[in-house]
Amino acid sequence: MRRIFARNRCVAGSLARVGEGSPARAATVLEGDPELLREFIAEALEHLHNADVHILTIEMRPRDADSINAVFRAFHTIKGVAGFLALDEIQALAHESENVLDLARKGELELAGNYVDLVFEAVDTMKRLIQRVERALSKNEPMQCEEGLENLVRRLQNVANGTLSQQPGSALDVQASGKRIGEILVDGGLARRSAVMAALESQHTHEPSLLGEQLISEIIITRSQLDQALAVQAQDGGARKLGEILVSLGAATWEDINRVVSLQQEPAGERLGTILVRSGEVAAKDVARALRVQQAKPGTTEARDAIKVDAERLDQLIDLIGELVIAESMVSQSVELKGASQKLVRQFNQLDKITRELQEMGTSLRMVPIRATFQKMSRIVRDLAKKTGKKVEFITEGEDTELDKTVVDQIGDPLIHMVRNAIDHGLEASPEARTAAGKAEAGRVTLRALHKGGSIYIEIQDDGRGLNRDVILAKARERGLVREGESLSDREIYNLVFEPGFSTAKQVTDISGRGVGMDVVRRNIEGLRGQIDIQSELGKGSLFSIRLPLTLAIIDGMVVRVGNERYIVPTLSIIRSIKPMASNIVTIASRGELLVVQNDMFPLFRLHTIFDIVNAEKDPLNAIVLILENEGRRVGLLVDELLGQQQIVIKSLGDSMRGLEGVAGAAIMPDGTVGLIIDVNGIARLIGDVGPGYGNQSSAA
Amino acid sequence: MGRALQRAAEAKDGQMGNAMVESVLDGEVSLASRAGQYLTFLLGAEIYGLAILKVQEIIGLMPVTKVPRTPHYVRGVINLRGKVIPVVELRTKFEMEQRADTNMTCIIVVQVASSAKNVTLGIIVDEVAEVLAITADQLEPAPSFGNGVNTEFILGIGKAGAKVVVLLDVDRVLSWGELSAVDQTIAS
Repeated sequence: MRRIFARNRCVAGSLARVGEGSPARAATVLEGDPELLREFIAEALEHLHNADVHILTIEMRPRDADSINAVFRAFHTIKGVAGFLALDEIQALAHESENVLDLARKGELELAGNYVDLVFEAVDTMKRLIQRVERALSKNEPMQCEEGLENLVRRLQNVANGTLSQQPGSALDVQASGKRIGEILVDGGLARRSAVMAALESQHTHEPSLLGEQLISEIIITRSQLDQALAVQAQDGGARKLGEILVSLGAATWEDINRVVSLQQEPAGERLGTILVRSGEVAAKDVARALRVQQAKPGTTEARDAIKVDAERLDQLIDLIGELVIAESMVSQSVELKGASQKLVRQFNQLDKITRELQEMGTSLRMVPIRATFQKMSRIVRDLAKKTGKKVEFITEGEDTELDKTVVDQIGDPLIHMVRNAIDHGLEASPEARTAAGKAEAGRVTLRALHKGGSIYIEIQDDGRGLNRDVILAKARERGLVREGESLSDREIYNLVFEPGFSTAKQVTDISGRGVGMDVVRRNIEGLRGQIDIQSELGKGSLFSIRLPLTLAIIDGMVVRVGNERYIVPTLSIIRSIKPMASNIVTIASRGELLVVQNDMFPLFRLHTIFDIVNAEKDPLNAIVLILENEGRRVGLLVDELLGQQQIVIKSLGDSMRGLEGVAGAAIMPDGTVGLIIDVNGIARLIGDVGPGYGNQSSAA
Repeated sequence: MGRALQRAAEAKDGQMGNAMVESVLDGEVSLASRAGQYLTFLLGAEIYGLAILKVQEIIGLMPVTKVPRTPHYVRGVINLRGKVIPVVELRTKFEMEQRADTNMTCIIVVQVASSAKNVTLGIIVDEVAEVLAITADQLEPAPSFGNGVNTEFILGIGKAGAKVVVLLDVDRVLSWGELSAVDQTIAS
């Protein structure tokens, strides 16, 4: 027997309080009030068992005060009684454990990682020590000393005085991506599958525990105190509640009782680990290790965090999804599948469904709400209102509308511009002017985003002066944009404000009015494949409506054929298509061609000439003319045939082909080949003689 | 031009001018560093090699979409698993005679270093042969043909047994400014 402690080297010795190695020692154990010892053993084991469960909670929530207190109380109680019974080893271990837990209780130390392991070890060692006392007591023989106790006590001291550094706790060597705790335990060979199943069963059939049991598990009262209280209750004939009796017996405080009662009322459902530990199937320490495995894997608990992903990778993923969709549709529409079994058809349907879902998911990955952009506008409005001395009531609607990230990033500047315009030009000059016009002092500017018919609309509406049609027209005539005597629709007139250098502001302020802006706004919006439209009523206000595609990755395209080639024309830029008659086409100096439709005239371009396509239809009378509009300019484009309209995923042609005129990009066609998207502006530039305003001039001719 | 190269390579044992020897000495270090594995392919009877590290994959011929207003040796673009990449006809680039595609015609997808970043593109070749390990002592510098023949894009000449392989510097063969340069003959 090794000497461990200075005062009493081991439990047997301390019990006997006689010299070491004496055969009389066992007898002394029994003499040392066996009744009291038995009670202590039972109580201590119960405390320790509960402590296990609480340490598990600490493992998951290191700052859980209730659990730390419970474990602290367990050791505290054991220490007290052990001291009384002169079980020095137990007392020493309890004392050191108590010190560590006390620090944790005061928040001076976080019980995590190897510290928790140490507490588990203390509990386990304590259990063994007590079981030894029990054996010594029942078999009436000398006790064995606990190996390694000295070391454990020292380590506990080191934790308390801060010389043992904190490290991550030991985890099970089990792959546990998103596994449940039961699986991890079984995989780790720590629990039998049947035991886990039984525990799961009891988890579901679990009933709220009785108040007394709960109090015992919280180490507030002992079982004997509970028995005593129950006996009192029985004597009273159940007149008093158990809690009352316990308080009157001084076993518990009202505070404890109330807390436990409230716990009791919570839907029970103990954790699986707790049940397994209680049933003695698995050691609490092992459950803790399993929990660490489980928590070490991201995605099991806090997977809702946003993950930053490289945009290029995201695009690659979306590309691949697009390919999958194409490959899937090619396979499922292949001729070989005609007459396939019902089963195969069903399986293909399933595959189809999954692919579509994946595609939707892919598209949604790039979508972000416009809220942040709108919030930025609120700030600007506030600043502007102050600067201009106007009163502005700014309303935003539909902030949760989701747009492609690129659109959200790029729409900010045009929006700032338009909001400024709405306040500076749109609203009346002063609150007084508004009152005079019979309006509320504060001008109302509304910024809203909404979904409508497969597009997203962003609208800026003000209840100010409205656009003055005549002023705009006069200005346009002055600048030569519109000729005398030419009649324009309201919409055409309002659209003149987007012309470069066009400003109707009589006074240039530092906010707006220099005439640079609206043309930039329109270019930006068209760059996002959007359209901008104005509605206005003089004296009532204006509505600027921006229509944007849901996503930049997909466009509606008209597939056209020229010779053996197929091209895609963005549907957005097609005004209409006509089958020309001889009278529609006018040749100028046998070089340029003009298309004359009703009273309008457009330059006519032949795609096959521009792109040098062989075996295309040369006779315009057998071909189709698409009338296209881009940046306010209208042109006719001769193609052989319209093949149909479809949604097309846009791809870049890559760096090597950048700057290729006439081609805006590529698209993957439903058959997996590449289609080229026509750049309407680029084509006009290729011909070279089309300056800005050509469309207007030709229509005026 | 390719034939001429080959002829020159065959005559490698013959007289090498003094100037030639000097250029060998100059290029000694870089030449030795060019030893390695090359993917060889055929254009007619000529054998060419591409550094294996430049090669991404070899794919069968697939429908190619013509792109207007590009140099004549650009056959068009293909869809490589969702990525649109240009494909180049090496025959046309080397001004060899046109030949109809066969079963053996295929596309070697390579990574070409351009000014800013790597560009992926396909090269249409008659047939892919094998991967050859070319050691430093099997390497000869690119021969000089005098005026008019550009040998800039030749890394060297490799001798593997009886075969003579023209090792191409793919970054230079298809220097990237070229593809986007509008071919004026087409635009007219």
